[in-house]
Amino acid sequence: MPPEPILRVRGLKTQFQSAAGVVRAVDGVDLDIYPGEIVGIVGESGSGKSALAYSILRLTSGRIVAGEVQFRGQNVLELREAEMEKLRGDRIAMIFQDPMTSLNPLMRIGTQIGEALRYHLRLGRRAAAAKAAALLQAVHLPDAERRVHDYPHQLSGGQRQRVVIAMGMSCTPDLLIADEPTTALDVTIQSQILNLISETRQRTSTAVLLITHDLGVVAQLCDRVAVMYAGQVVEQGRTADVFADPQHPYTIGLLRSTPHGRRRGEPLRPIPGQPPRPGEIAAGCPFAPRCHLAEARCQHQAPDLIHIGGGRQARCLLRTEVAYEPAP
Amino acid sequence: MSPLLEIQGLVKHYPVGSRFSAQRRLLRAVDGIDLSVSPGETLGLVGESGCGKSTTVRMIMRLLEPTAGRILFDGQEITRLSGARLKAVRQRMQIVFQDPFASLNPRKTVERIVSDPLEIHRIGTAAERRARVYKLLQRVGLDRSHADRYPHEFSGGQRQRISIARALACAPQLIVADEPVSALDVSIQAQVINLLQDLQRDLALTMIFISHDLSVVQYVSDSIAVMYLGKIVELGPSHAIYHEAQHPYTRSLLSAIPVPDPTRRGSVPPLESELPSPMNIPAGCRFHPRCPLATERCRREAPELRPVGAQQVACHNI
Repeated sequence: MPPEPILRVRGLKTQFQSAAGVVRAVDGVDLDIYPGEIVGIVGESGSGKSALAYSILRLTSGRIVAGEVQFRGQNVLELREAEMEKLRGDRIAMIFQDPMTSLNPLMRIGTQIGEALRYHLRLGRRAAAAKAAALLQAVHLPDAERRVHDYPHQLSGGQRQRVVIAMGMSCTPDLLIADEPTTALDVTIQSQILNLISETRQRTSTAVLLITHDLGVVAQLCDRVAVMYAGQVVEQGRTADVFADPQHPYTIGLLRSTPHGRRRGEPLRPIPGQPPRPGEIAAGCPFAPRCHLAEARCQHQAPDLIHIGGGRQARCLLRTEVAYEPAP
Repeated sequence: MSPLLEIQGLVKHYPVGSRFSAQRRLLRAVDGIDLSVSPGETLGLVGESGCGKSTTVRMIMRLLEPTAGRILFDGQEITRLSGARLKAVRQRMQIVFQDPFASLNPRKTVERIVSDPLEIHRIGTAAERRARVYKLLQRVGLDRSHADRYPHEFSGGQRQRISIARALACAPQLIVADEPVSALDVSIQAQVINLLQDLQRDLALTMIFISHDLSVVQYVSDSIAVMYLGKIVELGPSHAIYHEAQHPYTRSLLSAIPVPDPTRRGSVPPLESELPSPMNIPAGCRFHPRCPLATERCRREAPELRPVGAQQVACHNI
């Protein structure tokens, strides 16, 4: 029997009110995450990938208008705020692109990590300090025992992100949500942090939801990937399968437009046009205006996310639905 | 062919700390580099933040005063030019910046933005300038109906097209593109890279392309210079650098790029530790504290660039 997903999102819709009207940032997302796996959400700016993450944690400034977020069998959208607070930082942790979002500039890093331990694990001051130093060692912060007394500004960007990861992992959560955790870092530091995330997952079997715009990061780190466009998941499957044989025209276009491995002079094949502006989603498939395969029906018929075999799903009228089967 | 641009021994040092303090130190942003670019060629400059690549091109554009060294443009030394003679050279070289949200004046229409360089250099009549703006907008994939709009009405990719139109206004010979696609989404990046390639071919432009992303740089460049802490560590034809990198830093940089191919997951361990501060550059080879090949000699003696295969490499152990 397959294991139960740790997180099961169904029909999630989050909307923002803007001057231009209602913006459907998350527009009916289904997503499963199983214990210990790394799932990538990839998409371009405005695709709704960050709004999805914030909605799962109920930290979005928009309004969640429909759907369910089952975490360990419990719909978090129905929890009281006090219960939600206990979940956040304890069972679900989050790290952001800018580590300073989560760090207090006026507090020594050891004390900050200790604070979460004292709140969630009810550790005493001394025990919390000792555990904080151990956590910093586990994320390979050089000279960890001495650095617990440092303030965030004394660390580099990469070191701060290590501290935030240590803080996120402090209560060994079941799920770690990482929103573009390496986007602000140089490539050599990025590869260190990605290694750290992968190593942490192996050590603790924490599941990771990794939000990124970088297909390379997904390919290197994620077990499964969901591609988002205009607030919806348009393709979902095992990373190896999706990259080897993308099924949605948007995924195909994204993979074609990277310059990686292409020779000088060989023209890139970009996706024409622009993603829809927030709020201007028309009838039909949102990708149809840019799609090289679009047919007349795509302009007025909105596709559903369907099973296409091999545990994969795609949201495209040109794909044929098959009976659900789990990934081989 | 004689180079369009040549720089010799270029240095930029910043004094840091109080003028009267004993602790006054030097930040060595660029620490003696030589480069040349032939007409119609693209030179890629790569390296991580703080390696000095942006400082280098800002000196070439004469936006920063070099501490030492020479800059020659089309055979003429421009290092100390000022006034009208500097202005005349500036017309022939233009820059496109990374952030299309910061580099366009939000209070000017697109027409004003693109025609500004023409006005500054007093080129054409008002009617001629307008015609030129329309032509430029078309050339970069926008159209004349965009001329009366303001930057906030455009997406990131469209704004970068406006920046490119502005850079082309005076028909320059040299375009410096400082991370021109780093702020853009993948599907839009490819559009802008294709545009730059077409323009370069059609207008016979010479280009310096800066990026931290070696896979983009190898795709657009004829030759590549890899910088580390203010020095060039490897220089050569793009193909050779990308496929047969010699310097241990270039190799680590290449292996750190996440390849969008899950069948090729990285097996090379990432580079240890972080970039040292440019205020405290290590003695000997500046890469030695992070280098897997470092020997005693590397701690004492700074390597010079020397030919290895098709490229030049600054390393004792290659």
